[in-house]
Amino acid sequence: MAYRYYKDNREFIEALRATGDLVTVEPEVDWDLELGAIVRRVCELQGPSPHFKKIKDYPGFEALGAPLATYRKLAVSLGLPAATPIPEIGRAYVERTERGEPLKPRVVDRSRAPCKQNVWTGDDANLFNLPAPMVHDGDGGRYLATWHMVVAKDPDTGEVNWGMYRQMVFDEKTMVGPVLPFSDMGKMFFNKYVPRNQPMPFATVIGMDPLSGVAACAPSPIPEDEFASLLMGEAVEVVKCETSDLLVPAHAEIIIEGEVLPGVWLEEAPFGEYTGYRTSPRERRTVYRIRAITFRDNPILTVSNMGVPTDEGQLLRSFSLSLEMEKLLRSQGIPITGVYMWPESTHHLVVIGTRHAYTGIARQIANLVFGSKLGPWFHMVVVVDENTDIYNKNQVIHALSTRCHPVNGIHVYEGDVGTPLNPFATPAERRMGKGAKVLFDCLFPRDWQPSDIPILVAFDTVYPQEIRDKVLANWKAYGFSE
Amino acid sequence: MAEYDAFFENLQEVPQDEEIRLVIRDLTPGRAKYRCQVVRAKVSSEPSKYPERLWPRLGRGQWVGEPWSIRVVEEVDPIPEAWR
Repeated sequence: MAYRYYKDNREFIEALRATGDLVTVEPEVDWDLELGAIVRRVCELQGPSPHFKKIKDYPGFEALGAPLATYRKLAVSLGLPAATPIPEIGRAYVERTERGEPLKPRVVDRSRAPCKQNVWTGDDANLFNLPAPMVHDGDGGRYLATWHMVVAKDPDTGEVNWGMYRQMVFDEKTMVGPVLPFSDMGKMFFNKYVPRNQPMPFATVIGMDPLSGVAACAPSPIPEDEFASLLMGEAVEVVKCETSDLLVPAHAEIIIEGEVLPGVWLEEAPFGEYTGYRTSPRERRTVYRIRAITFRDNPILTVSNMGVPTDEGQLLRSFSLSLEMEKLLRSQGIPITGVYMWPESTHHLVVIGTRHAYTGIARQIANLVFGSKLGPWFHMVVVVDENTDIYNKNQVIHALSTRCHPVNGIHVYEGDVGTPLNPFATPAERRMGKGAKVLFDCLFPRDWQPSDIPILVAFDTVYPQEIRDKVLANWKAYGFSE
Repeated sequence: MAEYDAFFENLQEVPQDEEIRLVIRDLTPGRAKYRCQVVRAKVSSEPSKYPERLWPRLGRGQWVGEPWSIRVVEEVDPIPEAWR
């Protein structure tokens, strides 16, 4: 059964306009910092997405900034009312991805694929013909790919990967960006293509439909093109590339085709990253050589602007990482009550609510999530009891500050997988991709006597029901407005 | 005068007045602004020593503010012939 969803970026733009989550920017904006600054401010204000109608030097091109940087926009992308509460958005995601049957993408003829309306090959396939923004002052180059996905395929199994790997324009034919070795595409490229000295075909998809973007961001246990079908309730429509047999979403705005080169490295970065810092320095990174560019008429470039919260990466990675963690823990029979990552933590801190069913449960939870495929992307686990509202920052800070013993409750894990993007990591840790992790156990120990356990003093916990009812019923009569 | 910038981890360690290989970005306004090039060039912290201007930045993009100068000897194609 198909859910309500948007088949392309343009339908989504209209949906955001209808809910008041989009602003049309008619004056011309400069791709050199002005556009990026607008998107940055939108992210920091959690404002409506700007739809830029005119871009300096690039007549005919448009751009959409911050397409999914709020939970309202995420709800809209899933066909839900914009004001849907976060736990309900999460429930929709879990229900669709757990109960549905993944579908292989449906290949459509190129005549039915808007992304083939224009085809550039040879000298025309020039990256400077696309309005790549200079996103932040001080970036190492113009980042064409900030809200996009890179399509690649396993040379042995044929399994497809969609992932978000940032790409900086180096020159007319070359892009460059980090491909971390523990990422899905990194495992594929470094373990299979590089040892064979074989270029890896890729296709960068810009301006795909929003749910394909959500799927590409998710730490999916199945190929993302099938994962997207779970979110949509029907198969994604794809079309074959011009220069390889890769399949790309047919309704996307811009496709850049080419090959990732083995044994070639070029300087990339710095870049304002999802952690809110420029952390990784200019370094030699993976090289993408382009062969063709195809695009819709009047293409709309999608632009995310990483920095201090909240941007798409922070919000969607927090959302999908925590829900995939929830599925993992439930599959192991752990009596958790919920898992949530605040986007403001730049998906570094996860709060897990659980029944304190047995001693050591917090460590078991931490061991499971740190040891999973999801582990490299976060390093702080806070375990709270089932009465703490994991979505309520005040309650979690209170629990952390009052129930976590500074010695017995904090457990440090050393020598784990980390990313070079962690601002706190030492230069040596960044170079080697090493990480450290920490568990904050906010459960009162089970071996304490019941009389030893402090009593939470709150309106809901220390007054009889009839008193609470009376106070609530008379609240306005006392003179309070709310 | 052409203007470029380049990123250096440590300005004190940049060899001056000898041919080095580095990546520069072309700052000419227009569609190709910030195009990167791998070049062999000589650089100097003296702003007028070589014909073109070079604005150094540090490794995380910090703007240094004092211009250097550069003479580009040649652009180097960093892509092996087999992959071009």
